[in-house]
Amino acid sequence: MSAEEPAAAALAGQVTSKDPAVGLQAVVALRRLLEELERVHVDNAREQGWTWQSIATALQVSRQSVHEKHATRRKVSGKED
Amino acid sequence: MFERFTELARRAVAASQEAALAMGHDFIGTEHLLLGLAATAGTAGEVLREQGVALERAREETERLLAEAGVAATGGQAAKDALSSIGIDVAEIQRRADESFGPGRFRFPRPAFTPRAKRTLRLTLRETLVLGHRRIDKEHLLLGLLAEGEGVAIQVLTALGVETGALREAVLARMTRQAS
Repeated sequence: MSAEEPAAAALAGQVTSKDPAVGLQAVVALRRLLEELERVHVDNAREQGWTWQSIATALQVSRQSVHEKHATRRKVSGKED
Repeated sequence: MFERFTELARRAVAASQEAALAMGHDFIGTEHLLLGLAATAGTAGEVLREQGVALERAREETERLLAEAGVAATGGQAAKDALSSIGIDVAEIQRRADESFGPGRFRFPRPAFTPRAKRTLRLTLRETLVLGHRRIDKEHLLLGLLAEGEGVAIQVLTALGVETGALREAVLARMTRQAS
């Protein structure tokens, strides 16, 4: 436990780091991670036969926006007709 | 726009992403588009080779120029470190994603097009339209790169002793000959 405490404290220090450069860089990286996770999970949903509408509902966005973002990409990469 | 790309043009763009990943870059710049074209079968690659752009040499020049410019080739380690600083373990996400969906499906950071590469793609579409063509092929992409005119791709070509005006003429001549 004593070994973990400093690590946890250090982490908490970073989360609340007052240096804007550190915090903002994490935000940008998180945005990229989010986009990648969305891509992986939308692909998985389509492969399991989900409709664009049900994916949109689950993501809480419009069908049009999810379709625009992912359908062409999937067609171009040959994942979809 | 990518839906108008021919199969080989798509492969060239995919090869650009592979080139970026292989060199540890987390972006796709004009230099990677050039490498993608050089690595892909067909007219654009042939013209590049005829004009003195061999894939290996082009890759070496790209790495040299980017290293000189201080561009990180660490496979996006900075982004991973930034996430680690807020308690997110990308390696663990990678492991789970590979397990669930198979290797290669989750990629972080996935290389994204630079502003210049995006501009190149817009100019590629314009070159296609000006020529009155419907599908966007590798040759249009090469013309788009040359039209953009200022990216690292141009620096690579210059370092290899290629004159961009002559390259443009050579591509256009070959396209005209094939169309007739």
